[in-house]
Amino acid sequence: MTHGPETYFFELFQTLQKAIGTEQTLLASIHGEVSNFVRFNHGKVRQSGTVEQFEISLKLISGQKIAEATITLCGNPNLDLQRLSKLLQALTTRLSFLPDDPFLNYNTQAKSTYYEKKSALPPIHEAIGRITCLNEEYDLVGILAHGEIFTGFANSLGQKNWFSQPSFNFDWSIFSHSDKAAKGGYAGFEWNEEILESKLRKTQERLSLLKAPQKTIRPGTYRVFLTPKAVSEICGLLKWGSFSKKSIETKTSSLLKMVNGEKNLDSRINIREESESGVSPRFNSFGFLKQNKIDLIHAGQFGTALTSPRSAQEYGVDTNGAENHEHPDSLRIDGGTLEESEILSELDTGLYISNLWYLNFSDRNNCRMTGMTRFATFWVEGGRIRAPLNVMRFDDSLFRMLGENLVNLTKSTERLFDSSTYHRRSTSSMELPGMLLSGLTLTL
Amino acid sequence: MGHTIEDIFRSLTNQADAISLRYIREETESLSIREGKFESAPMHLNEGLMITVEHQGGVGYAATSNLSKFGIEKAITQAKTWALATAENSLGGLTEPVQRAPMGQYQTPIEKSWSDLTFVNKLEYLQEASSQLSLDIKIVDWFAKITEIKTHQLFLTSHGGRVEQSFNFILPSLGVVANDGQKSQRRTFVDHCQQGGLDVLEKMQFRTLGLGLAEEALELLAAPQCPSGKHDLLLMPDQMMLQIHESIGHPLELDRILGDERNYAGTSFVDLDMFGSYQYGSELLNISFDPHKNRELASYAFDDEGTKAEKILIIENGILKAPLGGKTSQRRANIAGTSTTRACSWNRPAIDRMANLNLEPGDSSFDEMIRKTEQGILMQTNSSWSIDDSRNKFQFGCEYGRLINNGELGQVVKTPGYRGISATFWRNLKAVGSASTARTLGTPNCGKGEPNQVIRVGHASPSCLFSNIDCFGGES
Repeated sequence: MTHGPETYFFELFQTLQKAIGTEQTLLASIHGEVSNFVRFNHGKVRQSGTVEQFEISLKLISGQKIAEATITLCGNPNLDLQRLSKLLQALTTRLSFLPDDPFLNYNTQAKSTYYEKKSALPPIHEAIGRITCLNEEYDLVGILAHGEIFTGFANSLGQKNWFSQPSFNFDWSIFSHSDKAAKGGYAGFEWNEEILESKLRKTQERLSLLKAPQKTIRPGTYRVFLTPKAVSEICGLLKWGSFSKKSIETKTSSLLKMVNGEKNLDSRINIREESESGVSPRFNSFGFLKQNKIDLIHAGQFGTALTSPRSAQEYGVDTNGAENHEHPDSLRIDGGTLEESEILSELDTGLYISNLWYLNFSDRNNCRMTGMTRFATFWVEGGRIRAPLNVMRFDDSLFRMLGENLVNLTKSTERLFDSSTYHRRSTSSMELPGMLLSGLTLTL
Repeated sequence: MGHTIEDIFRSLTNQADAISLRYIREETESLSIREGKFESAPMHLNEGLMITVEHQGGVGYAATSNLSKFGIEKAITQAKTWALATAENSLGGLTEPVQRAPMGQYQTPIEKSWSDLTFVNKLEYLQEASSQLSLDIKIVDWFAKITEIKTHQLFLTSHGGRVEQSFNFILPSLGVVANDGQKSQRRTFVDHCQQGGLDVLEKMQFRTLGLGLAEEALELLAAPQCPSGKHDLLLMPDQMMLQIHESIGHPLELDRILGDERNYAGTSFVDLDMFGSYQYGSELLNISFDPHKNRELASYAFDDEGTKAEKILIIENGILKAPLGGKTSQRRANIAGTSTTRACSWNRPAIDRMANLNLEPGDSSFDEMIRKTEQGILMQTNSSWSIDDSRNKFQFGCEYGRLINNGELGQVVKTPGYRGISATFWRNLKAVGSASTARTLGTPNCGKGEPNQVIRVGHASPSCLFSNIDCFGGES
């Protein structure tokens, strides 16, 4: 792209919109990234490379009809314009035979925004050298993702939104033996080698705890502490439809009993979608801006659902800027009063669970979920870590876990950047406390 | 476009020790109806290429959607820079092109094209399927959707290799939610994706499937919870596919065994010493990697390293024979494997992925398996899946269950689930259904890899009977 992605996108759009009819409205979104990916195994590089990808989605609207298409951009302005013009013609033709979409809803009040984050990313090849050098004696496996991500929106009503954010996300595990590993990560916008070294050192230091003989426990109900990273896996499962307006209305949300007032969580549980403190774009592909804060669960009771423009139209409520999938992007749970230094003593005897893995609903009607412990999970007795545990399966209801079984939440919360890279690098994040539970049911 | 890219590539192949190009153009068109109303009909054209360079002992890749000479040349330079920068810090065994000059082609056979229908005809077709679902006032949501994906792939190597493959995927789905004011039950038809077009939909009688789904969702609303305890378990093909996928497919992926996936998708309870001797299951268990099964979702002639695809039994009479791993992993592990190095698209590097992984039919009819079961549970259609990172301790849930009492099918039960350990579960395989019970299934949603990739996999399986499995239901 000769002028940078922002200018490129808005100039393409400027030309394209001249071709639409007076009764038509054109919406366009761009997603792009220039990302470097370095994959490690055994402290060495397994795969490394660069991915440059740019896609434009067009939505051509006439009355209640909408024709939509997404196309990869090549970066040559003449060629891209030629292909997009052809696509626009195809969409125009398509409009003639598409049925009405009864729930079509797009923003008609132009609200332009601009966000460009300036970052200091690491010189990638030097970073690799440093990482492999620091882990010469360690079995490190993971991925460093790094580079610019951008998203833009424009419509023929004059709205322009831009989001650009170079970032890095280094997500790793250092293995002691077999499946025993300590997990770590370093993500953000300002690469600092001292912070990297400190985080790697902390992960390495935890390996000594994993070398003790492992303990196997029987299925049953145990007192547990969940780190913020473990809590993020629970939230990751809830993301899939639990807070969604459509899921609630179609009776498939796992929190339906809370919506109906049959169940509540502990009154100390406050869960918010907090766009204003997240790192995601704050506009959606229909031009609506995301609400700064949405109380999804307030004082243990269900609050407001994430509502896309489509659901808003279908169910006669206001949208709060959610995309069609109605997933939270910037989830935050308030902390409690448990000090970091008191976690082990308050746990006393039970499991210290650093990571959970592969959660799924085992009984959605009762928000019962199952999943595995993973990486560094320890048996704690008398407030001291005694042994690493073999992986265990839990199967329990959120209504119990964060209801009658919630003892406390940590005072401090941790910001966790999503390292997911399906299709493109994620901009989601969560800010979460750790949680002490009086009981979690282990089944296998 | 393919020829232009090829001409450009051929003119640039002297810039490194070995270069390969993988070009992909993928056109996707979906059509969906929800609650009888048109929902959306998005189109997607995704096009780009990946260059992989091996140079002076290093390997690097670069992916770009710029298909011009400038774009391809830039990608070669970027990939070469990665190769040089990481040569000293790389794992061993990654260099040496696995196939210097593969030659060949593949095309999905289609008897009746979905694309040839007009949009209006497609919409009518889908409306007909959808109309079957809205059976009762307790049906609170229902949908019907068909996605067609046309993928054209060109693989070129600097040593003259050329593999061209064209695929046509058809992804049908139906779903229905019944609610009685307090609780909901779902029935879906989603993992039946195959290669082909309208012919695939007609063979599965897509337009008339909805009625059965809606009836079963309503039945489930009134049904008791699945009982807990040890039972014989009869799994239907649309649950068998998940069982094969999670507790045979993933643990046998060679890159997991080599540790590449330990930070994300996980490792494996299987190690290299087990191949050739390990008793993975009962003698009835025969698992094939079959890239040539007609219409199965992940059929192909060559993998993404250019290795010619051949059918092999990876588990034979219960004995573990071979891993699911392509040439690069085979070289690293010094073991023979399968042609299963694949990438989800042009923007991700190829890694070990299961493709068509099938359980070979046995000789028991469905009725025989029911008759030989004193106390058991039949489970159908996966609804929940969870397994540990070594692919050993699993727990799966299904949408629909029926009790089997004294050799007869009995009451419908809801929220049926079971749990077990891969290393021992397959040894409880008591009967394998004949071809008459088998279905060819597939899903486009298998996730793995760093960076993450979601890929299409196929699984064909008959119904299978297992003994003494820990089963359970939901909370009352």
